Amino acid sequence: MNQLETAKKITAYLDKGTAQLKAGTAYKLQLARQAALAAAGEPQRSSELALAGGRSGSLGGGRPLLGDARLWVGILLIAGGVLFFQNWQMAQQTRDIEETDAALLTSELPIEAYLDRGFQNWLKEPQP
Amino acid sequence: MLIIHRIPTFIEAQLASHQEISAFLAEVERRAFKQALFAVRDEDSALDVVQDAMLKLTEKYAGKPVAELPMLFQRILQNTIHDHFRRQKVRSAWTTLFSSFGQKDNKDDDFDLLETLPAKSDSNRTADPARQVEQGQIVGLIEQALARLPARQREAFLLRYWEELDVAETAAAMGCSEGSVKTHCSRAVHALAEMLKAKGISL
Repeated sequence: MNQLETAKKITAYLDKGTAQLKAGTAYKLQLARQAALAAAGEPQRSSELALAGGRSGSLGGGRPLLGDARLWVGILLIAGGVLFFQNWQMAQQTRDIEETDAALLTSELPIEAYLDRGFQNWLKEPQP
Repeated sequence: MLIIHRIPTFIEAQLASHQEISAFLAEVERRAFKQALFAVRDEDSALDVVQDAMLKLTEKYAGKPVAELPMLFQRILQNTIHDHFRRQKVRSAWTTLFSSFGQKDNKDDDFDLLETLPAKSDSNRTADPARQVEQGQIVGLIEQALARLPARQREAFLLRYWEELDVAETAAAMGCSEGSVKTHCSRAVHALAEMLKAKGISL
């Protein structure tokens, strides 16, 4: 007897076993099926979806277009966020430098005083 | 040229309706349960596996063409069985850790008399009772032998010969090469025949 014949005979017995499934188990399976169908609800059957499936299939990609769109929106949002943060940081740095410059220029002490080592040493000395 | 090419794609992509999915699941649920049972060897776990697989199919792949459902469902079922074993591994690690707290064997607590009754099946109504018993015994022995096979051999045997997938489809569902499928199938049939012969059953 060849492999296929033996296999067919065995699976015939398996079919018999499946037909004799306990009533309780068969009922539980029926409940499981109903729960699965209820969880999914009525699937959409529009031509638009069929076309979308067909297009993604012909392009060789298994993913639906909707998934791809979400992915791209996510990538764009992240890229936008990064650019905004960079710009904001640069503006903040410029503002800080401006503030320091303005403070230096408007302070009563002349700018040359900051470069004067003698003046710095005098500042460090404990005041009487 | 492009339009001519697109038309068959559009026709092929006939999406499965709610009724078609329901009919498909009703047709395969018992075999799926048995497949899960051979692998996990526990009725409740097998039921959980089948329910999980059904949920995954209806939730994630309801928009697929009807023709793709059998293959998809088999893939999902095999993955769910593998997930079950993965989870069981983690759980058993924790159980061993807390085993000192003691375990109660409540196997008899949820005994349901209804579950001992066989389901209605017209095929056996008129058959000879003695022959029915004998056939039932053979079925039981075959199921035991199947459960004793190595997991990959059993998977290959059931997908290839019971679910009647071709070699390429079986390989895709199992995530292995076609050569491996052939080897697994050959070894499975050989081992089953040997096990049944040892029990005095000639097919």
